[in-house]
Amino acid sequence: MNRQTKTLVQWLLLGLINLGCIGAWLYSPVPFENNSNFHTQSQQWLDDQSQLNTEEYLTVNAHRMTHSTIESLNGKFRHATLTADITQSGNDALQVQVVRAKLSHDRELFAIEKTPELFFRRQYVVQEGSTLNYSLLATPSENTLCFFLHEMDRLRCMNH
Amino acid sequence: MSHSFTLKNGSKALFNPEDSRLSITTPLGEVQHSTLGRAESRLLDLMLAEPGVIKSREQIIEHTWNDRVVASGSLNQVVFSLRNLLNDSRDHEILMTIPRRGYRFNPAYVSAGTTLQAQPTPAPVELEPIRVTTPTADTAPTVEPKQPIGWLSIACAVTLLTCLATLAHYTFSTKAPSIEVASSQREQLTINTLGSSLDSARALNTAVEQQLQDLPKNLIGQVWINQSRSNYSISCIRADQSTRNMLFNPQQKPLASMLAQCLEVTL
Repeated sequence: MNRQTKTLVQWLLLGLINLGCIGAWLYSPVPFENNSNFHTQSQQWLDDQSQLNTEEYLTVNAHRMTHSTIESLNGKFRHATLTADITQSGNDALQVQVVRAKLSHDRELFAIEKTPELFFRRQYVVQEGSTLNYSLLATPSENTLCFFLHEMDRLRCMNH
Repeated sequence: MSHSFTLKNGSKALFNPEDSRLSITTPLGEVQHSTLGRAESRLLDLMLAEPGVIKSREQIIEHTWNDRVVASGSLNQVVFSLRNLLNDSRDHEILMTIPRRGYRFNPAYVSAGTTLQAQPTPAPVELEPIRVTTPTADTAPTVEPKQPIGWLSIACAVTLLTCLATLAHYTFSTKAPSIEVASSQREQLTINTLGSSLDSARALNTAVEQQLQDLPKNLIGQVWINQSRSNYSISCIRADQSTRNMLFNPQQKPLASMLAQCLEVTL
């Protein structure tokens, strides 16, 4: 094999490797290509047996997610909306960075003394720039989404 | 007849065209022997026969390949190869390219009286200096194209970066915090328990199964259970694909009844 042929083969090999890598990037799985909306309801029983009800909405696409929550306890309400950029995504994991957090007014914060752990964890989550890691759990259909949010130690299943 | 010349690093070179042997003696006294390829040997012989005289591409091809028809790139290749041997690949100071005219061996590197057994050049090809110094349109352009090795190196680096980036992209899942799942099946109900390790997920699954002895067998759906300190967190996907999540202390709320409530379809 003369040098020119060898060089040509090297170029061909490099081209193939690059094409393979670019192809792998282009066809890598994107969990949420289009806007997907999910919602769910949750109930939490506090130590005094009072019931904290939560309604959650999640809108997610390949680049951004918005998670809105309305909580009610004994007729009082509070809400939070978190917007985050998706920084990494895979088949079974999602990493996001919080870009905006909108919360209820302070006077609406209730039951802090009953859920102190939750309160403190939320301080990290609502901080702009925080990184959140989601583990996506395999569900039987695309209509449902289950995940575990590591920073909040929170398990959730949501549906369309 | 042997030729002797110096290299840029001060090494002394001795070339014997009869056996194509090139011996290089470094300033430290180390001697390296190498046998040149036929074309490289013929080219070096021609260039050293008249150091300082420009040899046109035609002359060189005629001498090196005995007038055989060769591809135009062959000469470039031989020059490239010879320059590498003479450690002259970067600045071409020894085997110089004379644009549009040809090549010449820099006489500054040829030691005085170096041609051993010096005789008139046997001249396998009788050269006519005048013809060389007045190039015709046929001889131009003779600028040697750049060797592709530089671009190849850049391409290798780019490829390496692309591969590393792709690898990083695909290893994200392994770097991200993970959660392990253990599953068990009860009739039409799938129970998935979570844990930081597979062992802890299985242990929770076993503990959950023990608490669900009295669970009605007609429950349909999927349930995910995680234990956080003293609380259970359960998430359900019901038969109608609706979902519900609950967080409670199993000391206050029995798991079985909460699971049944979680999977209960609202009418």
